[in-house]
Amino acid sequence: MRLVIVGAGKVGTTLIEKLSKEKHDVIIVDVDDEKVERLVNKYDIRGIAGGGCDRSVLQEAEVSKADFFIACTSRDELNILSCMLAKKMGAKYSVARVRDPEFYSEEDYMSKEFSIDMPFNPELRTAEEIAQILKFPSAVNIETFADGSVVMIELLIKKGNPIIDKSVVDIIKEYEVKLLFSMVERDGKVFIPRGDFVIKEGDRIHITATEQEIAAFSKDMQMYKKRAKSVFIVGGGKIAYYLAKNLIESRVNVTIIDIDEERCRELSEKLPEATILCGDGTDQDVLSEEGIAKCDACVALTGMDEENVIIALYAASKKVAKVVSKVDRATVAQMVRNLGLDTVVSPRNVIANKILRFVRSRREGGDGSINRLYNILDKAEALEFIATAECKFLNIPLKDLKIKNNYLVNGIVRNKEYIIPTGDSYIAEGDAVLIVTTDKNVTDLNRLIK
Amino acid sequence: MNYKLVFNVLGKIMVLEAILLCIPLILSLSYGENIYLAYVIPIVCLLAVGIPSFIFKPKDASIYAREGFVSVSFAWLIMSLAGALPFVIGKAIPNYIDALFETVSGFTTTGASVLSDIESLPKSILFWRSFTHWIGGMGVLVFVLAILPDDNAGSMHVFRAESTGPTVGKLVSKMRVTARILYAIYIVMTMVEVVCLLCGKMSVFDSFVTAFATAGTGGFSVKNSSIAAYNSVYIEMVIAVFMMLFGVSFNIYYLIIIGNFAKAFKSEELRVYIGIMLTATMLIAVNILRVYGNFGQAVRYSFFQVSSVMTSTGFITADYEKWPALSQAIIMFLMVVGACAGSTGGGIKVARLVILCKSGVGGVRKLVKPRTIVATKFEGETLSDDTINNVRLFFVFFVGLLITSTLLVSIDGNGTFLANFSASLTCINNIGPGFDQVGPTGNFGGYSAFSKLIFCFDMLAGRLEIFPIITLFSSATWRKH
Repeated sequence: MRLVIVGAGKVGTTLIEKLSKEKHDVIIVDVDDEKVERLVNKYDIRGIAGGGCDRSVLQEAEVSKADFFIACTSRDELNILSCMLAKKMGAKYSVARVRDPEFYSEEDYMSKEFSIDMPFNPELRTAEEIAQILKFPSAVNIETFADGSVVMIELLIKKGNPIIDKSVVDIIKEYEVKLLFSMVERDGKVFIPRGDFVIKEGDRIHITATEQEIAAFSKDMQMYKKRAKSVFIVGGGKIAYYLAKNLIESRVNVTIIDIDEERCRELSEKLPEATILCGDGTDQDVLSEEGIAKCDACVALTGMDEENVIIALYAASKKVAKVVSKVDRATVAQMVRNLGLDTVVSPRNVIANKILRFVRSRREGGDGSINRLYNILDKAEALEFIATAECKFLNIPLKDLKIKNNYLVNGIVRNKEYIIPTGDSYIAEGDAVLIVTTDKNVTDLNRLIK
Repeated sequence: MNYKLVFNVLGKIMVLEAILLCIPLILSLSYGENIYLAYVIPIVCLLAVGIPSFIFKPKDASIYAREGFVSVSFAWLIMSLAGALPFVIGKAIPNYIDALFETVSGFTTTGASVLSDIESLPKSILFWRSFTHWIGGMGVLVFVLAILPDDNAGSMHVFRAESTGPTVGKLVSKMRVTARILYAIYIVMTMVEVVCLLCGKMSVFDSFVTAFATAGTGGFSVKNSSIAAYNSVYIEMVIAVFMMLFGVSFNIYYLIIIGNFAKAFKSEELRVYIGIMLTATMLIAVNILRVYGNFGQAVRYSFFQVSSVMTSTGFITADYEKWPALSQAIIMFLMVVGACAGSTGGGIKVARLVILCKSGVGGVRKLVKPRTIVATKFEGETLSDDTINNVRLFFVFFVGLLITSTLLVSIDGNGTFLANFSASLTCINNIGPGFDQVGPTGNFGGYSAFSKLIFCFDMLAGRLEIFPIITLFSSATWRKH
């Protein structure tokens, strides 16, 4: 497929990294010729230095033949305008980063009138993801499937956990739980566990089940934490705003601290229910004075990765039950995981995954039914498909299918009810099917069988 | 330095050369020449070393600038070292240094020769000699990029190290597709020339080898008196026009193929290139009118020599040393300029010359009014300081290499100053003939082995546009990661 990406910022770079691995034809357009040059040297793509609203530049990028036009510069107006231009020139789908709340609140209107097929707002999506985690703090990470009727959570197995050195079959027997071990992450590798797989200390396990089952299971493992009732947010940027709004709606006490007085005033106007503090959030005295230790959760959302990590480490040392930090650079994120900070959120990954799903589900030959995509360390993926009539193995028990080794049917959701797949389960038309795989670029449910 | 990766790339090159050597092997068998061993031995050696290093894939396959430079430099060196074997084993050129000179001259599309009697050589050897031009013209690693289904991340460094010109860009987003398009244009143009030559009643064998030498802008001929031997205006004009065409950037042809004529013909470099060529042709034609008597003949010889020298091909139909001094000076100027960036031709390149002149003008303006900000534009775009510096640096190294080389080859005392200087120039710019002993009627046979090795270095450095070879002398290149 041919993709034109305008804007070689964080999101653009992440997209290029993932898309060029998937062997697409990628053309990057950016005004900064040095950035373009660096990307062209590193990946097998073509680069054009120029503005995304310059028609001659777009012509040179052959936008008329492009399947996707993705505008992710830092300026909303430019993104909207260049998408309109690209659509007029014949690009099939347009994707634009639009993050100003003023624009984004009119999402539907915009996509219709401005011919943007997928407007996206990294800050809003990241805020939603953090809110999700705060509602279920036992998990390091949480991903919902099939409209929330089933979730996949990531748990970090720390020392003293009762399931250490037990095999998957034994655990399920012992705790009588209806859940599925989907993936285990160990030493940077991802395994799809079979029944005899033994859990070790330091593993990050991904399990799939309904929310109630998972809550019960995490209680059994003495990992259960109550949902956060008071949240301390350091840094008052866009993500903080969206997150606070989301949390306030579910009656959580929110405190935001930011160093810029102007911004604080603005926030207190927009979020009257929240406590807004003006001060240096990286100063530990300030944090302890404002009672960070008494909060259920602390979220570090300043603009600097390093500061977020330090704030998170400090909060963790003060025994704050749940600590979330925003870390954007991929290399830093990996290091932080090794430091023992469990939940790290990266806006660029959140959004890149979302766009990737959009791109893949519209690929030629794919049946356009990918509903969700969740990516673990770039080594494994969890996908949700809707089984259509094109699926070649409808109504056949799974035990009669030759399923590839690196695939796992992670769940079937029929009429909003989660079914843990066994040998006798089958896939019917209209089911939501969850797949976990270490295979790359899966676009079609039929890839499951040999 | 990622040594494993470099060995892997070199392995691919060796296997590729072994495959290419099969063509003259088949020819020698079909002509009944009793020298098949001349090809079998190198093929076996190349495969024996090449296949093992080709099969072991390095874990870390990322190519950075220095891996690109080193693998390209060594690829060319190994190609030349192995490519010289058929000449030695086939007893065409018994001395290995001479054979190496001939092969380097072939691959780098120089066309300078140590041979005085070419016509007596076996046909398969002559084929291989001309075929090296064709292989070297577009570049061997570009060919590897075109055929191997590898993940080509980082391949830009290899492509840049082997392609000509100050700035190198891909035609399409995939490196493999870009390389394929370039080779497709190259092959089609070569075939068209073969057909045109066949129409001029040239023999099939001669048509092919001449087309190979033109396409690579090489200049090896299979006749002792070069193209003059055919004594046909038609053949001369076909070759002159094709030399000119192969001296044009291949990006222009791609633009024409995709129908973007406006952009193709607006190219500043193309216009300057054609302009210089026509002006030089006219000036020389007027200047040599007295030698040939009528204007038609003067244009015929002037155009062929200008096209041949400017594109760095080096075919000859007239002895320009018998021309007046002005004409010789113009020929010398054309030798320095060279063809367009992104073509198969050698030289400093028209693009670099234009950038040098423009930045020179800007520099003078800045001297007079120190606060002026000067934007140097080329092809309608403002050039970054990096690009300009790169062009200036290239020129500095070019002059440095020219002077050092002239100095070193003068040690053995075999040539006049003019011969030594023009020989160095003609080797660095991959042209072929120079002046005096190495002029259109002479050859490089008179130089000592040491001088020939210096010339080999000049030719390789010139073909790869100096930087890849220069980086080999930096200790930073060789440090492990």
